[in-house]
Amino acid sequence: MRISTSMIYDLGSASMADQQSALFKTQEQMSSSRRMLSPADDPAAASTALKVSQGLAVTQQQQANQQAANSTLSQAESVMGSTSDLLQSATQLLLSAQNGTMSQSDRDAVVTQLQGMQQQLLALANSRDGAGGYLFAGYNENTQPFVQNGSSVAYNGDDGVRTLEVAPGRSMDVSSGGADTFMRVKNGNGVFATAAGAGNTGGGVIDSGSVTDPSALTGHAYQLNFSVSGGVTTYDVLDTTAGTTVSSGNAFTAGSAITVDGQQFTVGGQPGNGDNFTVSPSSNESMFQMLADGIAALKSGASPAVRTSAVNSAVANMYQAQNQISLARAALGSNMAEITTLTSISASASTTQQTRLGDLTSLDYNAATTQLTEQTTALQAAQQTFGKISKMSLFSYLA
Amino acid sequence: MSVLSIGISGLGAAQSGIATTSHNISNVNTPGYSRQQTVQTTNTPMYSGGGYFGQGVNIASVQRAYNGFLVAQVREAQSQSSQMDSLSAQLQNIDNLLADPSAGLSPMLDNLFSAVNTVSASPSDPASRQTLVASAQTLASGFTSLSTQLTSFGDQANAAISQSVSTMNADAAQLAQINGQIVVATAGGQPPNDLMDQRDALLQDMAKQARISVVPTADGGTNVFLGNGQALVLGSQQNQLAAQADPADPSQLTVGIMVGSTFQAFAAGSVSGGSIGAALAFRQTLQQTQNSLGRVAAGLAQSFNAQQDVGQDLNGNPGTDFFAVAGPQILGNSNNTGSASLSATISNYGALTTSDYKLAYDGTNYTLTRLSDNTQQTFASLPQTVDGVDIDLSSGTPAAGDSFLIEPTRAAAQTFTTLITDPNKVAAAFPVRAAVTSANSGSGTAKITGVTPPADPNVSQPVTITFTSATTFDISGTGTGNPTGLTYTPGMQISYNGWTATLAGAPANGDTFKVGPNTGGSGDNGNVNALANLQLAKILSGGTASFSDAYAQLVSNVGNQTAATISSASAQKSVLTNATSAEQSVSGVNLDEEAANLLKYQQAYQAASKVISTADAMFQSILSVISSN
Repeated sequence: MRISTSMIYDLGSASMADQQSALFKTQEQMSSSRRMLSPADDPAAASTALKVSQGLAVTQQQQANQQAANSTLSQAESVMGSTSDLLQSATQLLLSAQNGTMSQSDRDAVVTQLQGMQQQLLALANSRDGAGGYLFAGYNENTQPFVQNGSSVAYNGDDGVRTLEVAPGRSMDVSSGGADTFMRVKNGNGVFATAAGAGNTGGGVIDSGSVTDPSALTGHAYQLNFSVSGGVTTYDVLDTTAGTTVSSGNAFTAGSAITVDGQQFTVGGQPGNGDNFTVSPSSNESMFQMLADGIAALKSGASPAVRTSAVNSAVANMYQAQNQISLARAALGSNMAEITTLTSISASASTTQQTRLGDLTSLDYNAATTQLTEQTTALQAAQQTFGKISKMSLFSYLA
Repeated sequence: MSVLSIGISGLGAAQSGIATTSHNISNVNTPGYSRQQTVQTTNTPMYSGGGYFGQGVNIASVQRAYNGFLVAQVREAQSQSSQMDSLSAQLQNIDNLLADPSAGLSPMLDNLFSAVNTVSASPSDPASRQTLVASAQTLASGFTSLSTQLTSFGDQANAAISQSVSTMNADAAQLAQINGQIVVATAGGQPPNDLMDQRDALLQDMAKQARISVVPTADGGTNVFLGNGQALVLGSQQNQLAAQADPADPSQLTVGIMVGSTFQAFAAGSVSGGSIGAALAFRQTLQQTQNSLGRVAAGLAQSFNAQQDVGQDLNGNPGTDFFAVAGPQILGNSNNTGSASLSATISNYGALTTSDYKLAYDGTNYTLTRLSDNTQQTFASLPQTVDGVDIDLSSGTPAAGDSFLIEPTRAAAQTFTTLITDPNKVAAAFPVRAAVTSANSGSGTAKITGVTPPADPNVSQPVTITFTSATTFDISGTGTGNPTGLTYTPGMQISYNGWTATLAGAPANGDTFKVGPNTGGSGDNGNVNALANLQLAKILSGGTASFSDAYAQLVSNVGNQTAATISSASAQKSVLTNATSAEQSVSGVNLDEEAANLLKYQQAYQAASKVISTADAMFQSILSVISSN
């Protein structure tokens, strides 16, 4: 084929320009360490990389959420731990006050301690999180949730439960209202509560009892009316809810168990004639009220038997309160354990996504270096051959 | 006489050869130049008794080495290659705009949702709310700046069209003039080689602007046609090419030819090749990109606003719109004669496409054409809903032949703005909450788990859920219809007045739960969680794509088109190189060849000179014979 002289120059310079632009591109890739300089370099990988980096962003958000959740949960857990300790001490103080040798002044000392604990309990329930919001106020986190209102404590928060997405599709409860924990504790033994009649004159003392047959429970309130006639003590059992008499004229032996519709309790000591005891289904009471009831029992000038019954029920209440706190701590603990697991899952997901993103977008320096060498060689070859060919002209031989 | 005149004719022929060779050498770098050769023939021989004696040489003509077929092939390849070159350069503008992984729209979207999650973790913290407002503003400026740059690419395409049109007109004017000169020159019987080369160069230049068809005429001139046979040049006559605002969309230039003083637009798709063809093709990708970006913007704004509107802000007020975007654009054709004015609103973001639509009225029916694939639908009346867009006649009546261009999402990205600047106005909370009555004996719980748009006027109305046994409950309250005897299963969801509540645990007979206004609910993150869920929600493309997916789709579309164009540009370039090589192998000047020719003619000239000196010697010897006598 005939070659025109201008073609030699045109093709030579065009091929050098091509080589140079390829070389420049490799250089740009190496200096930016990006395999794709624009989506056109690998459209499929570019769009996958966008999706992977979004996935990575989501994982990182969830990691941040896990940290936030963990921080809130551990603050709540720590407060719950202190509350549990406090309740335990209060229970022990109440139990110690049961000691018959204690004088009223001894009991007054205990009362002072318990009153201090009352304030501590209130302070714990009003704990704030790191950002200044109340931990146990539900959604009303800027309102002090527990407020001393005369002798009782009112709850001003709500039942809002805040959730955070800590893993794909897993919304975890991270904060809750305090009402459930502090304000709604079942009194008595959790099923029923016993009490001595306020006007009792005898030495009868009732304990907090237990459930022997859950299937026999009726949910009714009962009253035990004692009568002493001729040295013989008998009692009648009334179902005050239904207004019926369950049994009457039962012979009384001090300290032996009495069972009514699946509920068993013991009346110790010697009740007086006309004394009564009530057994009612447990109702919700606040921890503050329970503590106040115990204090009131110790302070009261009632007969030792009535006081002992009242302290008995206060102790039973305290156990219920401790249970409640344990349950709440267990829930917090299991969430925190889950977060620990999720944190390691997220960390490995994040690593995988980062690796994938790296595979998609990062430059393979070994391959790029080889390519750079090849392209340099090719450009040099093109330059040298062009130089040689362009020098060859017949005119050089015509002198 | 004869030897001398034969020698002179040889001398003349060699001189012509040297002149032509010198012309070739001088024009070695002239674009479009075809090497020339002298055509030598012998003179008519003279008869004598001894036979026919040659009478030397004569130059019949100077011709150019030319193959019309190869030249036409180069011209065609030039049109294709110019189009692809120019198109790939323009597409690379968009491609590079989307290229930066750390500055693109995608990280801005991620940042927005990351800020939403931060608010979720501490809903009443002013700092996290401020971060959300700031990242929303960043996203808004991201949308606007991307869209502004895309619009400027559209302006560049318009400018390229204007530029090409004036180049074409200038070339056509010269061509018409040269045609006239060629016709005159050819009449003498000899080809005006250099003029013809100039004409080919002009045609080649015109082919860089658009594909033309070239038809030679009998008198040596050429006619040039464009599009569907519209004449640009007829011999020495020229028609003006013009670029005018498209009556359907004044922001775009359309190319046509002036017939007298009337502008006649070329039919869509009839002009291709060259930089005009590239600009027209580029617009399609550009508009699709703008529409795709707009669809992400419109979808995000709408779904964010809808959720924000059903929430409650930190001040306890109902949420207000977070973002604002422009709705669909409707452009009435400037040639419309009716008084109709149309309205269009988006009713279903999942059904939106990235296409524009043309609505034409023929006097009885409306025909709606989806411009991306030219699917047509015909309606007898409006309103109609097509691809998620409600189209209605807002006033007036259309006349037959009227048409409207509907661009559902074109303007959305450009107009994407943040309305919320006060961090307190982020509606993180639900406007409603559930409370457990403190006297409840069971362990049942109730929680509001969702409030779904659109806002229900009764959403905060007090509603009481009363358990009539451990497994049944009644509902009472405004807007609920007060159903009774509903069966309870733990973990079940109930929905009234726009809210959804989850009931769990073991409620007892007589337990009640109260749903009511979320007064002071600054710690509620329910609604902001719902906002966070929008990040991965498949809202667009018929529920198959999240916002980020749709954006990734846009990037991959542009990337694919750019990659395809770059590779076809390089293919076209090698087609052009091959065609040019073939043409140059015929017409190109080779200096070595010319050097050889120069030697050849030089020697012929020396030899002819020798003939003349021989003739002189012969004459002198005759003279000396005479003088010696």
